This record gives sequence, C-alpha cells and structure tokens, in this order.
Amino acid sequence: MSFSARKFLALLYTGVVSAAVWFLSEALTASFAGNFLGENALSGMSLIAPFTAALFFITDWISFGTSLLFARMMGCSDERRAKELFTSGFLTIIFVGILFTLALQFGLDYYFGFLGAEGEAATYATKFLKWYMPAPVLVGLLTFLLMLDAAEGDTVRCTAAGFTYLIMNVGLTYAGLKAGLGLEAAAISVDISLLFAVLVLLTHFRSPTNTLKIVRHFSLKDLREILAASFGDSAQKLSTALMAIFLTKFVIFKFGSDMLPVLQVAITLSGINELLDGIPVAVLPLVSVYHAENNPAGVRRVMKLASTLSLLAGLFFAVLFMVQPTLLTRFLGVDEPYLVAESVKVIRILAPILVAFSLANLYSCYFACIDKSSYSLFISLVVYFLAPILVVFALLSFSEVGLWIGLMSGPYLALISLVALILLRHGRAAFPLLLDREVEKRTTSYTLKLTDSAVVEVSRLVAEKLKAKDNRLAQRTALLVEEVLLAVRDRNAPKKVLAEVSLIEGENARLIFRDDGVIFDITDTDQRVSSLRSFVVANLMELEVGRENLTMTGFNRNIFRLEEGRK
Amino acid sequence: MDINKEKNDSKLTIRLKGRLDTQTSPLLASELSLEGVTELVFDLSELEYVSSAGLRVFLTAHKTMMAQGEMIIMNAAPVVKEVFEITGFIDIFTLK
Repeated sequence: MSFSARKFLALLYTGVVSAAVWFLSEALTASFAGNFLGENALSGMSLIAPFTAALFFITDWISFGTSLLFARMMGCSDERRAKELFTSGFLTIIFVGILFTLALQFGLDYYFGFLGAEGEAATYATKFLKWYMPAPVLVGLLTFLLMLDAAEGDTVRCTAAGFTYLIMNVGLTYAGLKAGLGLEAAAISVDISLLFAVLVLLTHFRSPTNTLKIVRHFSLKDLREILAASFGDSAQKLSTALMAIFLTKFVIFKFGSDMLPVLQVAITLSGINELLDGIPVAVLPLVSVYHAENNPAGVRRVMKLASTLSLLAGLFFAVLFMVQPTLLTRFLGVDEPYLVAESVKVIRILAPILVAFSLANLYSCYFACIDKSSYSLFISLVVYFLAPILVVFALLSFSEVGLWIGLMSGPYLALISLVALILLRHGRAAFPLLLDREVEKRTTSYTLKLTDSAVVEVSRLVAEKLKAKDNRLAQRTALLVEEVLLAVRDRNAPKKVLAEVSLIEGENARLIFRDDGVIFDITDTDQRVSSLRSFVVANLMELEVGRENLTMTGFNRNIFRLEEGRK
Repeated sequence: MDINKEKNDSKLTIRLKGRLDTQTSPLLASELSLEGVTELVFDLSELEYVSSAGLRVFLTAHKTMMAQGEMIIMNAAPVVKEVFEITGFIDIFTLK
C-alpha cells in the first residue's frame, strides 16, 4: 500500500468519526424525540433543521476555508502565513457563534413566523432552541478545531473528541428523556457534550509538535481569502439549509403539518450524506499539500482511492435503505401506519440519491483543494439545490410523488451536466481530475519500508532515472536518498518506518521525502551528530540550499530542489 | 559491485567497480585482510558511487594502515571525489 493510501486511510477513520458526529447527533436526537415524546416532537425537530443547517453552513465555511489555506500554506512551507490565517479563522468562528446565539435570543418568534410553524411541534422546537443558546459558539469551535487538527494529522485527538461528543450526547439525552425532562434534555446534552469535545481538541495546543499557533493578528483580507477559498464547497451546506427551509415551508403549505414526520425521515436519509463527508475530510489535507507542491501523481493516488471508496459507500447506504427502509422509520419512532407507508415509499425513492451525493461531496471538496472553486460552487448549488428544485417543480404537476422523484433525480442530472461541461472545457485527457499530465509524466514515486535493501534499491533507481541527463546530479541525488532515508530509519529504530520518495524531473525538479516516523527536521544543519551517517547528512544539508522541511503531526516532509549542472 | 584485488608483496591494490553503498560495503569490508600490507591502494576509476557506508570502510582501512604503512585512493571520479570533499575526508585520505 502506498504511503499516501495509508495516510488517507488513517485520516479517513478520523474523517468518518468527525462527520458522523453531526449526523448521528442529529439523527439520534430526532430518534429519541420520536420514540420518547411522539411524532409531534419529531415534527419539532424538523423545524429546528433549517436553523442548525444555517449554523453548520457558516461554521463549515469558515473552518473548511481556514484548514484548506492552512494546509496549502504548509504545503508551500509558509508557516508564518499559516499561523496568521489560523488566528483570523479562530477569532471569526467565535464571533459567528456569538451572532447565532444572539439570533436565538432575539429572533425565535420571527423564525417560526417565517416558517409558518405553530402548534405543538413549534412548542417543542422552541423548548429545544431556548436551551441550545450556548451551542453555536461550541459548534463553531468543534467544527473548526476538528478540521484544523485533522489538517495537522492529529487523528487521535479528532477521533477522541468525536467519540466524546457522541457518547456523552447519546447518554445524556437518553437519560434526560427517560427521566421525563422533555426535549430540553436533548439541547442541554448537546451543550455539555460539545463543551467536553472542544476541551479534548484544545489539548492539541499543548502538543510539542503543534503548529496551530495563535499570533497577534487579525485581518479582514484573511477572512475574505478564507471565505473565497471554501465558498464553492461550503455552499453545499447553504444549499442544504435552503433546501430544508424550502421543503419545510413547501410540505406545510402543500400537505399540512401532518406530513412533517415524513419530511424528517427524508431529511435524516439525505443527512447520511454527512457520514459520507468523512471521505473529503480525509482527502483535504493530503490533496492540498500534494497540490501545493505541484505533485499531480500524489493527488491522483489519493483521489483514485477516495473515488472508489465514495462510490462504494454511497452504493452501500443506497442499497441498504432500499432493501430495509423500515430501519429508518423504526429508528425515528414513526409507527403510525399511514406515516410508515408514506415514509417507506419516500425512502425507496430517495435512497439512490446517496450515490450522487457521495461523489458530489468528494469532488466538491477536491475542486476546492485544487483551486477550481467554480466547479465546487456548481456542485454545491446546482447538485444540492437548484437542479432538484427545478425537477421538483417540473414533476409536481404530474403526480404527488413528483416531489421525491425530483429530489432524487435532480442531483444526477446536475452531475451529468458537470461531466459534460468538464469534458467540453478541458477535454477527455484531463477528465476528471484536471491534473497537469506533463508534470505527472515527469513524476516517479516510490513507497518503501525503510530497510537497507529497499533504500539502496530506490537510491539506484533514482540514479538510473537521472543518469542520462546529468550523472553528477544523479549520483548526488542517489546519495541524498540513501543517507536521508537511512538516517530516518536509524532515528526510529527499532520501529519500522514507511516512507515515500517522489522524484519530479524537468523544470523545478525536486525530490520529496515523506515518512511516518518521529517528527524531526532532517534539514536542520545544527542537528546532533551521533554517527558517520548523521555527519554525512549534516554536511549534505549544508550544501542543499533549496531544502525545506514541513513538520506536521502526521508525517515528516522534506523537499530538496535538484539543479542540473550544479557544481 | 565488483572487487578486484591484486597483491604484489606487501602492496595491495583493490579496484572497485559499480556502487559502494549500504548493501555492498559489508562485502568490501569482509574482503579487506590487511595483514602484512604496508601499501594499500584503492583504484576507484570505475566506482560510480559511494555512500557513508563505503566511507566507513575506507576510514577503518585508513585507521589500520596508519599503524602499518600508507593508504592511497586513486582515480576517483568527480562524483566520488565530491563525497570526500563534502565530508572533509579529502583532508584525511591521500587522493591521487
């Protein structure tokens, strides 16, 4: 398995946990509400969805943008700029959280008036949102720190924070509802669990290899950069929020409040999309760094695996719910026979949407990572909102199920249009990753476990590749490969270390090392010399003027510029 | 790597061909028996590459020869000579 594939899988685990936090939290709260308090409480939960969707959109927008630019700056080895962007993002996320809390404090009546919600469902939703007031700041911090810690490769803390939130939230909500505390218990549980999860993530700042540092800096220009970088991808959450508002108003208007539990079933089903978000979360730090170092071969390796996984995950959930639709109705406590029948019909119609959403999620994030935000924006707005709405209106006149068929088929039509657009603009050869084929052809990557024989073999292969052009450069590069990799091996002994060597030839030729051993800067010329090898490495570093080191908690990365004909 | 040894009384000439790296250096080390040798000559005209593992073998041999004679390194290609320069070994060894 390649180095990037292994790193991707490690990040995927964290990504899925991070993504599952929100989905499971909302789904379980809705489930407990339905099972303990009845269908009116479930309807109340669907009235909360537009507010939380708007909150998630804004917090995701800022967090994703900051982590994207942070990873990109680290990819270019500009640590100072990375810290400035982190600080601006951090301060903004707190400010936004406070604004949402104020909106809850002063705008609830207007909110329910706008949705046209009243009766018992609105009472339940009001009770929940009154106790949800501390949550927006904490939601912001949790989203932000999860993405930034993941971008740094701190998978352990991200996973721990995700589990802390889930377990506490589920446990406390269950206990509170069982004790007869009403829907307020669910909101209080969310507040407490968020606080503890944030505390877990804050311990990352005490890690000796932490590069997320708050500096005395804030700039509106940074904020504009952050928002511009991620708007394309994060607009997906905006579309989700708009869709939630549209559907809530539409269902109340067209079918009456009685149908709100069916809508909640549909919202929960499409919310599984959040679970599939784990794949893009894992893709972001790797693709951003590979893209920043102009290493298309690395980007392709990650995306090949990610695309396969996205497709399989989407198919798995789609088939699961088509075959077993009552899993969801039982989970949400819907047991009125008419509502169950309606819900089953809706689930079977909507389930295939999960495949389209899974791929759309991945490619929306991908295009943002490679600076093609217009395609991200297309996916976010057209796939998730405009196309389904248009098809819904086109089909509604034919039948009542047109609503659900429209919601399902709209994203597919939008994806087909996107494929056609990319093929027309960039041609078949560049489809679908839009990578620089020329640079890719000039890139050779080797993944190896650091043993004598494997290192020597790679050193030989590198020399063979460069020999024809410049023998001196070839042998010096081979020496760099052997000495650097064996120094890393020595430093980590007896632990086995996995490494990746990328040789990018041609203009701006570079040799890039990655390893998952202990974090240390091999390019530091002041490092302690404890052996002949470390002495040779230290001397080599003195000569390598174009050297760079990127310290991330997940892996070491060292870059050396190769100059032909250098004396 | 090819190791070609030629002994003439107390003079030992070793011609190295190919790469002297972490894998091949132990082979050279095992081939070095310096008993009774007063002049050790390494002919590196066909040596393409040397790493720190190869330097270690030269250094060990040099240490032994300091006590019983001299060690000369001949015909090193610029690429190989560069490694001696980088490490400062060029001032320790006698290069011709």
